[in-house]
Amino acid sequence: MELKYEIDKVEWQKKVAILRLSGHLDRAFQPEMDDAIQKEIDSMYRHWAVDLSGLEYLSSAGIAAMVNFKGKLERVTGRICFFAATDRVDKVLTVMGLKRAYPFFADEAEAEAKFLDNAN
Amino acid sequence: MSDKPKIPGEGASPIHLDLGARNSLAPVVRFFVHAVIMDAGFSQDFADEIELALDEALTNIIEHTYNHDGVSQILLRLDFAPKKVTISLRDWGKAYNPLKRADIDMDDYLKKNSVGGLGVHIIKKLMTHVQYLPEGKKGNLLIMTKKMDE
Repeated sequence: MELKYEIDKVEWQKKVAILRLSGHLDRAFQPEMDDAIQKEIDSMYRHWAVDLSGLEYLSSAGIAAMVNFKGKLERVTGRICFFAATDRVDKVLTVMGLKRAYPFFADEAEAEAKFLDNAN
Repeated sequence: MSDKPKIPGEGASPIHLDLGARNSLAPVVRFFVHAVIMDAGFSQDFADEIELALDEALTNIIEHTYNHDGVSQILLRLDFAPKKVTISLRDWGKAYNPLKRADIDMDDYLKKNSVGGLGVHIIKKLMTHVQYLPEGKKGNLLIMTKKMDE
């Protein structure tokens, strides 16, 4: 199954752009994901929220894409959060320790309320 | 009436697949293996974890052993026993022991925004036992076993 992504740049009081992922984020689609991130990293948004509600499968390549995204944002003093992971993806994120290290929220409403406070 | 075994894996037939070593083929193979494991009576979560470990192992062979040559061969064998699944992956590329990689401290890894090496970490986390065997002068054999929790 293909990876699909949609970037919403006018969300959350125009402070935080949202990357909505769906499908399977594996090695076959990691380069495409990295390219998409690279194109957006110079946009006016330094703060990003990643919607995982449509993501059905995540491999180490997908985790590498997330780590890469976070690293690039930190270099421009940006921040990233994730929300609404499906059960299967949530298990992988937990096993790999990302849930401890990155801000994760149960849903979009919670992410918007809590992440925005620190996204100036 | 379901013809699935009462004890997961009991009596399920082994599967042999002769594969081309291409990233584009990996999703097809893992979907198939997932379906076969479910058909042998194992749970969705159990099949999900083996599917991910298999994906990581195939990616390692394609990238590190065969360097994306796109034409080399991987032989996959799937064996069942009661409450146990074993996947063996044989290749004929350069010697590469993925288990030699040092264990990763994920907190440190994520703090430093490090890159690479996560596939083996996932395999070790999800499978009960992982064994690497060099196959003569050329090739590798990786055997991954997952047992159901007692």
